[in-house]
Amino acid sequence: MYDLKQLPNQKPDEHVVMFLRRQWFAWAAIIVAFAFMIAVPTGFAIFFWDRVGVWLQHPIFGPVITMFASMYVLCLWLFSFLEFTDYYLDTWVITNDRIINIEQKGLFNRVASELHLAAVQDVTSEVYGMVGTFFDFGDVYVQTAAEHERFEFKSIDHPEKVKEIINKMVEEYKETHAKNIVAAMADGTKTI
Amino acid sequence: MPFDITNLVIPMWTFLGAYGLFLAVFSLYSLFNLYHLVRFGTASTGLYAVTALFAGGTVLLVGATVFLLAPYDWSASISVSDLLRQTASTKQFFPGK
Repeated sequence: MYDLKQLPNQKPDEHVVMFLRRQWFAWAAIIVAFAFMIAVPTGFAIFFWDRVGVWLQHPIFGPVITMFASMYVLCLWLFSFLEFTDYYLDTWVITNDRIINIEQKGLFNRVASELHLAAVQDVTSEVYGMVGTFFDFGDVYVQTAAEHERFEFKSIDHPEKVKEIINKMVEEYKETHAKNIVAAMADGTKTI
Repeated sequence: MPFDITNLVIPMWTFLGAYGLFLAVFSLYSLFNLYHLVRFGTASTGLYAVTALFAGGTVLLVGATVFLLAPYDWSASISVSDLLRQTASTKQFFPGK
C-alpha cells in the first residue's frame, strides 16, 4: 500500500503537508446511480407483480429471469466498486518539496506525476456553479515551467485554501533554498 | 435424418453453467479491483470498510441467488419445440387477458 510516511524518493527533511482526494460528491454520485439503477427495475417488478409472479413460477422462465436479475445486480455492484476504486486512487500529495499527482484512469491505467515546488510559476483556484459555491469545492491549477505544463487538482474540497497552502509552500521552499545556497557559498562548498 | 432445431433438448443445468461462467468473470474483475486497492491505496478505515462491504455484499447477493434458484427443478430438460409452443401461447403470462 501507499505509505504517506515513506514516499518514493523521499528526502530526509521532506514531510507531507496535505493529502487530497476528489470531493465526496464523487462517491455520493456512485451510490445514487447504483440506488437508481436498482430501484427502477425493482419498482417495475413490484408494480407488475401479478404478471412477474406468474413468470417466476414457470419452470424455465423463472430460473432464467432470476439469473438475469442476479447478473444485472452483480454487474451494477462490481461497476460501483470499480468507480469507487477509480475515485479512491486519484490522489494529490503536497509536501514541503514537491506535489505528487496520481490519477487512476480505469483498471491497469495509472498516471503518476511529480512537480517540484521550484518549478511552480502560478497557482489558480476555480469554484463554479451554485453547488460548488455552497459546498466549497472546485479545481486548482498549478502552472509550471516543466514539460507537463499544468497540474490539475479536479473537484477538491476548499480549493482556495489549497491554493494558499501551495503558494505558501512555494515561498517557503524558495526562501529555504536561497538560504541554503548563501550558506553553501559562505562555506565555500558552492561557487557561482 | 436432417437436423431439426425444434427437436433439440436443453438440460436446465446448462443455464447454471452460463451463470457460473459469469461468476468466474465477476470474481476475476473483483480480484483485479482488490489488487489495485491493496497495491496503490493508502491504508485507512474507509478503505477497509468499503472492501468489507463489497465482499459482504457479494456474498449476500450470490447467496440470495442460490436461495432463489434452489426450488427449481434443475434435472429437467426443455425441448425447443415445447419452448416455442409455450411462448406462442401468451395467456399464461398475462393473467386476466
